Amino acid sequence: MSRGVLALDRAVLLLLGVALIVASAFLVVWGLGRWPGSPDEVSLTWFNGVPDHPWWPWALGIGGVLAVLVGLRAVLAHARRRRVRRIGLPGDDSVRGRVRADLPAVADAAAEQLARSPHVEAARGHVLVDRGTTVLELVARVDAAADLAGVRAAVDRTRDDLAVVLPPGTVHLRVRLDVRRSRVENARVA
Amino acid sequence: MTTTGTTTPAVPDDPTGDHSVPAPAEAAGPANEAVPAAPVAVGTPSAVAVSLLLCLALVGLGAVVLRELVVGREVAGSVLVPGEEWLAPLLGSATSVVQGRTAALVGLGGLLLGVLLVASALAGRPLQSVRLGSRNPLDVPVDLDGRGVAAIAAEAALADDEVGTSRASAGRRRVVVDVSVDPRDSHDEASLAADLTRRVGERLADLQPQPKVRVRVHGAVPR
Repeated sequence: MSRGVLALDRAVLLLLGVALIVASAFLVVWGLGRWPGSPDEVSLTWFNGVPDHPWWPWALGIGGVLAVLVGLRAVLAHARRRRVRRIGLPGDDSVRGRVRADLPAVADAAAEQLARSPHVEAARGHVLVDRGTTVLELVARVDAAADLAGVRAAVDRTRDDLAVVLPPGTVHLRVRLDVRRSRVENARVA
Repeated sequence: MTTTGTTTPAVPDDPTGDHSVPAPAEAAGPANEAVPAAPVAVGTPSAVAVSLLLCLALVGLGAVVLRELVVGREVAGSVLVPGEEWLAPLLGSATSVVQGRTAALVGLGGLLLGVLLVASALAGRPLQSVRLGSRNPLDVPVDLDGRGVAAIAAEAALADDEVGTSRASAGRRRVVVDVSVDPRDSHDEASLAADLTRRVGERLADLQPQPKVRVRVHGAVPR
């Protein structure tokens, strides 16, 4: 989901909320009879004849199709994840052609490097776009008794290795720890 | 019998959640510049969930309206969608809205819903993880969730010889560890709780924000 979709979500919700608050406040004040000069009853009989108008089927058709299309389009916009597959690498200007790095492969290699640490049991990596930033995220599975300083050091080593491969500032790195207890039972065996 | 011990974080939490301790320029090595730290992982804002619900409601409304268009209509001698109309009778039975308590209550409900919509529109992205190690924004964030914090805390408590079993639950700012000891052995439970609180606190000392630890010692295996 992009930042634009989130901004649109917030704007629509804010508009709907404010409109609902204003209309509801009016209804509360009117319902309690605190609105001087307002009628005691509002007639809705105009709606009785609406289905008999010739434009009614057209309104149903156009309104229904629009509601379904707009709703589905909005759901899809929320479900779509932005991914980056490749980034360009600086090359030699005297040679024609472009050099690109395959980011998922870089993420896999970084995960493999991280998993080589004795403090990390396994690791996997993927690339995503988070708030407009290309992020290489590594998920490292570590034991609950693992040396956390060792894990931190392993992450720093992985970052140093990535710095050799990636152009400066193109990809941001983040690591999540999936901490698990090594024992199947959490009880000590006497 | 249950004995508890607690400790408060040595480092005060940053109430803003902004880990923006400035780092000296020389701390940023070449690797930091080449592979900068990613933004902190956050959860989905509530605005997204509410919007998705409204989108699905819009699709449902559209389906109802389209059904109204085709229900009971005959095409080439056969009825496309059998059934009764829903909207036309609803509109046909509308008479009036009368001033009174019912209208005020409906308005009150709408008012609450409106406030909820505005609150969800303005709510930020929730932080769901704690950070391991440095608050330096140039360092790579290493995050773990509450389940991970609980696992580390429980494992640290189990390292004590007197502890038979351990279990923990944790959020971003609080860890509760339940340990059981053999009731047949003699234990100074208050002392054990204090000792375990210190031990677990030391184990979690590298987390930011540092969670508050509470240890409960039970005389039997906790259920």
